[in-house]
Amino acid sequence: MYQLLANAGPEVWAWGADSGDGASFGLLFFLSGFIFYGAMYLRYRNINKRHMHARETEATLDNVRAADELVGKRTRQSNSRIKGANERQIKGAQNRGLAASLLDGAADNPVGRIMSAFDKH
Amino acid sequence: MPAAPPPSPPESTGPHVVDTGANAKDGLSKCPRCGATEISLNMASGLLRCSFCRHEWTGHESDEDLFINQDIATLSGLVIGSGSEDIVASTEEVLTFKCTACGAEVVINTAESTQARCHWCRNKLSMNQQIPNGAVPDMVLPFRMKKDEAVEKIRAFVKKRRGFAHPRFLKEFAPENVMGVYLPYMVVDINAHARFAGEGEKRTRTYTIGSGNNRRRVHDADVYAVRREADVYINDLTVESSSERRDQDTGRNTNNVINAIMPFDVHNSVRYDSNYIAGFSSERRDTNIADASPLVHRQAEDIARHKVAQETLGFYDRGVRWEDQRLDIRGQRWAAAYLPVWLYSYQEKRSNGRSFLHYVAVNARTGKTMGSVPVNQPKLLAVAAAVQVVGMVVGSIIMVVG
Repeated sequence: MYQLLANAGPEVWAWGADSGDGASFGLLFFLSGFIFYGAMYLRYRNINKRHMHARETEATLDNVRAADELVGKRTRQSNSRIKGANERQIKGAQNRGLAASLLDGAADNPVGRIMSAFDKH
Repeated sequence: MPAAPPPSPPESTGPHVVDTGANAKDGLSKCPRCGATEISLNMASGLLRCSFCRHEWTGHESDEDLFINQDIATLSGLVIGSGSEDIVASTEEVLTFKCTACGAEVVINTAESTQARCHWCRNKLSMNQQIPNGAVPDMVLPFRMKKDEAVEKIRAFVKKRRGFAHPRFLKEFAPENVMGVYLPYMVVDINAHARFAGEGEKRTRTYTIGSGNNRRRVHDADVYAVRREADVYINDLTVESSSERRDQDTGRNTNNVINAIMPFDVHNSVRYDSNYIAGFSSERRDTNIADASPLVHRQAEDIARHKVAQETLGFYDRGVRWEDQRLDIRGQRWAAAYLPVWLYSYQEKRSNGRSFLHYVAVNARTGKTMGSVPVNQPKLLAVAAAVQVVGMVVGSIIMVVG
């Protein structure tokens, strides 16, 4: 378990740091049994696995036109991402079910991020 | 993103249908050299081989005549292969053919196969002409991976998951029982125009504010109005065309692991010939283009969004929020295909009396393997509880010391 935590990768630490609470690292250990169960269940049952159609399907862009205009500044933002970021949103995933919904789009939710980090090990 | 309406071709003409079954003949399919009908796929070469004289040949000449491999940039309207036309519900599943060798009447159940052996003269009869019941697709991607290799892939996949696997599963595990199956898919090319407008943020500074327990890290950012517009050419977008396989509710089935072994190298497909299917199972298509269109269009939007983000939004390290997204589909091309899968299945009997079907699937072209292994819940729960106890002790120490 500790090896798993140690190897969990930057995602887990980043998530802890993003919460803005120094005690979150300690709190993570209080969830260790649940995280272990979830990670092992995923590894065996693979309910979060699907064809990553958005990046695995061949596609090319042509005649690209871009416009970028500086319109203002924002300061003291707590989140590391813009509110409502959706430039990589996935709407066409076919796997359904509560667990699949929680874990899909791992980059966009903390549960998915932690489970994905553990699933790699 | 608002759903892009499918292109509406002129009502007078409807979709442009490409006849992919031209020159296909039902009945005896003979070796061009010796005339035998014992023909099957040689996986090593990807060619058809006569079991008597060992002569090898392609069922149809090259992939040049496969309409799905043509240029996408010039694609307009709705183009479909004749093998992907709508299924007519009243079409017979069981068809009778007259054996041209001896004249006997031979029955083929198209729900299970497109070949049958004449019970009198022992010749093999093939069904290659397309009828509107989904049994004969536009093209087939032949098996390349041999059964032995698939068995090894499955064995290695399960070996990595022995610790918490259900003991009964391990006891009954027999990867030699893997089956070669041609599963039905729709392959779609799309020529579209994408427009995006929204707001992006570029981080300019990260620093810490507050003191004591209120310390936190915050970010300053420049805000940009962002617009992107591009032509998008999507090649071989692939979706299941069996309603059973498209149901990927992970609480009820493990079809998602079959979905996960995509993509296939669809561009290497050949025109359909029943002899490629010989020795394998096949599952008949039961989904029409209209049923699969909403999913295909949602996935096309995902692909366009991802591609634009990957190639044009690297500057925005805090991401972009699109407020207006639109994908106008100018042209789309659909082909029905059989794609090759090695499938190992295991029926788990649960304590509540119900059963649950687990699959381990191997892409028979790329070797990509994914599966579902039944879990030994009591053992996993016990170990997780032990981990929880140790974690709470360590967590307490960290919180007290830290």
